[in-house]
Amino acid sequence: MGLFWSANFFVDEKTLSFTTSYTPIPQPIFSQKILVDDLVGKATQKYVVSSNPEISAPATFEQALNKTAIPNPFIWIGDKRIYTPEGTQELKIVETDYFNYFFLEPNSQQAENAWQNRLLYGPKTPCNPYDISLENAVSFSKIKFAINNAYLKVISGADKIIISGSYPFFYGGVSRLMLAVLNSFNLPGVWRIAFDEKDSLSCLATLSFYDKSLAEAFLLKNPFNTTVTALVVPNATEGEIDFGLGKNQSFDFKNAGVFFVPIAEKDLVKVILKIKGKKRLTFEVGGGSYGLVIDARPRPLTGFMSKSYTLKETEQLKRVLETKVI
Amino acid sequence: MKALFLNKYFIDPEALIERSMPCEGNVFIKKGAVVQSFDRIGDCKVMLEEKSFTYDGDLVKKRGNYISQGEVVASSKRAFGLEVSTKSPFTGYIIKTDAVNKEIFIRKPSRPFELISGVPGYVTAIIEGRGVLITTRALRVRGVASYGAEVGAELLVFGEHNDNLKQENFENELAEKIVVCGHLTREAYAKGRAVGVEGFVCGSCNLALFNNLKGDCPPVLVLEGFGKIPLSPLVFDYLKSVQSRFVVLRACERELIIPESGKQGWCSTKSVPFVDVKRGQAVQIFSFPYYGFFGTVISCDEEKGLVKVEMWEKKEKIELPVENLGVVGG
Repeated sequence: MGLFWSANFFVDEKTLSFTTSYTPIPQPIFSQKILVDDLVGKATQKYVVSSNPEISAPATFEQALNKTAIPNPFIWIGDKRIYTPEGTQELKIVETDYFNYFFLEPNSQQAENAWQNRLLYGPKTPCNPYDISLENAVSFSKIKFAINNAYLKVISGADKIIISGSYPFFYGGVSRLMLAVLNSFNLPGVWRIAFDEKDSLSCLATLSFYDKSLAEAFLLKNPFNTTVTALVVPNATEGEIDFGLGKNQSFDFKNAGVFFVPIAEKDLVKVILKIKGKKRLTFEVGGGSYGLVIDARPRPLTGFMSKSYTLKETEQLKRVLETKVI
Repeated sequence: MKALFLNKYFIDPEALIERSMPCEGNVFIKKGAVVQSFDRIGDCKVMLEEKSFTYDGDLVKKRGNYISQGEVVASSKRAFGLEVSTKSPFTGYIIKTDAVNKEIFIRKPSRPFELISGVPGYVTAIIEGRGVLITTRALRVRGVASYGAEVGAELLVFGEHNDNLKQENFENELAEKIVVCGHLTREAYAKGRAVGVEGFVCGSCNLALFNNLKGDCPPVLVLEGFGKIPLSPLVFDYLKSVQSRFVVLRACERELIIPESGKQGWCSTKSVPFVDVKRGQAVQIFSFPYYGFFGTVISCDEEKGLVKVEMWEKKEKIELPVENLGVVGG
């Protein structure tokens, strides 16, 4: 899953280094067709791939995505649309989706205005808490929209989800993104989630368009070492974890919440959960650098409809999720 | 160091303006003719609406008769020799009578309409019986959002570039004018619509107001963005200087077209996506808390990619990344 924030990314033909560009290309309201040579500051680039149809480039963004084989299936989350293996979908988010996460804006009308202006003038570098708060709030809604719309075709069948992006998505640590992903899951499941803070996936997607083997070789090295295992079990009432040490650790999910279990990436544990109706489920799961996270909150998460609840809950859960396994 | 150039205001040497009549008539001018702003180029007779009313008794007027308001059109005899008559509430010709439903249909008399060119230029094409296309030199001001169709009318500028347009500002003289203001409120829009304002050009308005525009209402052009963003002082001062000029609000294409024969150094004549950042350039800021505000570049740090800007109204100096501003002039 790529959080497609920056407008363009570049591949240097000679050094094969990848850079994303924050060059602000606004919506095509004030700009005429922009040629590759016109793009600033990246004199060595050969290829420019952009989602902006006004930029003439050797390949369109969708062409590049369709050619890419890694990682497959792939969801790209842009500002106005999401790209999934099934095709492109218009990203529809309304003020009620992100206002409760936009903690620095008390007025819903102003929140709506701020996001609309951001869409009109294109992405800018968020350099103050307000702008960062807006980007964070909207990325929550974008992730939710993408996961809900691609759940059956992409997410439900996936074992591992790589979340790729760059600043400002990773501002505030991976715990904030992790929470956004957990809040978006409405159905039970187990996923290993890896975080790519360097936004390598966008570059790899571009590279695979031109040289697939090189991109695959890079991915085989398993370069994303920031991981977490997420176990979402909305109706669990209690559970046990068998560490293989003879005595199981038990959990009570009655006050439903999110639990952090410190398990390293290569370790395996057995999680036994009791679901409402006395059904028992057993999972053998690993950990990650951010351990194992068990989310037993009932779905759908209705509490997040209120701003004060969202703020309180987000702060609490961030503290749980930012704990690292040493 | 390069920055995005916002091509918001530019001179178009060959802007095409359509001038047309509300109904079929005569166009006097020929293709290729040179016209001035107030030249009469066509005329027609506008047939005004049809109205109907009911009557009692027997008609005393016939189809085709011209009747004035208050004239007796029907009368009925009652007991004791009393007579009740029906008077016409309108002036016009009787075009139809319905004896079964006792109804009279009246068409108001036609009104002459004179088409003036509105802009100086030359006639590029004739739309037979309807109007002309005039090519003129014009300043195009592009906006970020708009609603409605194309209208042409006299320009009227209100208050200052960051002022709210208030209800108190509205008088009947605003009818059939294009009103320019800093910030448009819902109340002002409703009042303007009621008094017959032809169109609105504003720096900003709330997104909620914009999203609620529906159907046949006066067009709105938002130049800077949503929220409380002031109208660019560059444009505002210019529009104030050309007040009462005939302008075209082409809302369908998000632009305001002002016929302009003079040289305007503050707006561009060519379109480039990026320009070098230089001291003295006018820029628009895209960063909180001054989102959409304007300022002048006073210095730039190439290494860090930062630009120092002096705000126009606040007399404050701020430093921000080059990506967060757009060059608008200078």
